[in-house]
Amino acid sequence: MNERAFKRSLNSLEALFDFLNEFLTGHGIAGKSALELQLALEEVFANSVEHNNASAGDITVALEKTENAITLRIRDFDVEDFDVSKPPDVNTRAPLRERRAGGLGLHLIHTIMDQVGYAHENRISTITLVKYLK
Amino acid sequence: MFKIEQDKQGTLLLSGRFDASREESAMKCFNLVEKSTEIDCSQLEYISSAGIGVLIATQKRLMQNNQQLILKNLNPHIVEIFKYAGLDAVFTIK
Repeated sequence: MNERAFKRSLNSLEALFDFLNEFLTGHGIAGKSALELQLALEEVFANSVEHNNASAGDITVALEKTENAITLRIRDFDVEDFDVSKPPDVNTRAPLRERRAGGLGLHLIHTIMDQVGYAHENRISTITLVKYLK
Repeated sequence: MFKIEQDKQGTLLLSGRFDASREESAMKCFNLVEKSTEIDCSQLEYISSAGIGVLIATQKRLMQNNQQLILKNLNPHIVEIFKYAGLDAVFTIK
């Protein structure tokens, strides 16, 4: 499994995408699957930057390819418990005036990933995203 | 790399990757839009919920004065993300 630590900043996104894209390119993965993996990874990472700002530590990202799937594992340290494994209550057909800013990123993650796992132990959160390769 | 440019007809041209690191600077730019405006997305490679949030906030503000953003030339992958986010229901997409 390829693993790397990233500073807790949105300025890390460029390096994060480079890390992911290099991995995906090495495995011949492009197009829709690559875009959706980039999107899901950004949403999780950006959520950590925004909501776990009391923690100063780096966020680690691990990438793995198995025969029929790509797995992304994002670990965040010294953070509160926030279970992302259940889809949020977002009504994407609501009129514009009723749209809320929150929850859209998590909604997208659940829409485009095949599995979303979550664990929180000793103040360490581990989010596991799985995308099947078709 | 993400850029917002305006052509002589007033169309806003988005190019590159519209991720969360660009949200703040993009919001400042979109806050200057006061009337119905076409957004050419032909060079837009990627957008996340942060970028979508900028478009939604701008659309909400404009619609209070019966104005709107009109999105055009989106690539198929981005159209799909827009549909997942329900943007096809609140934007005119050409």
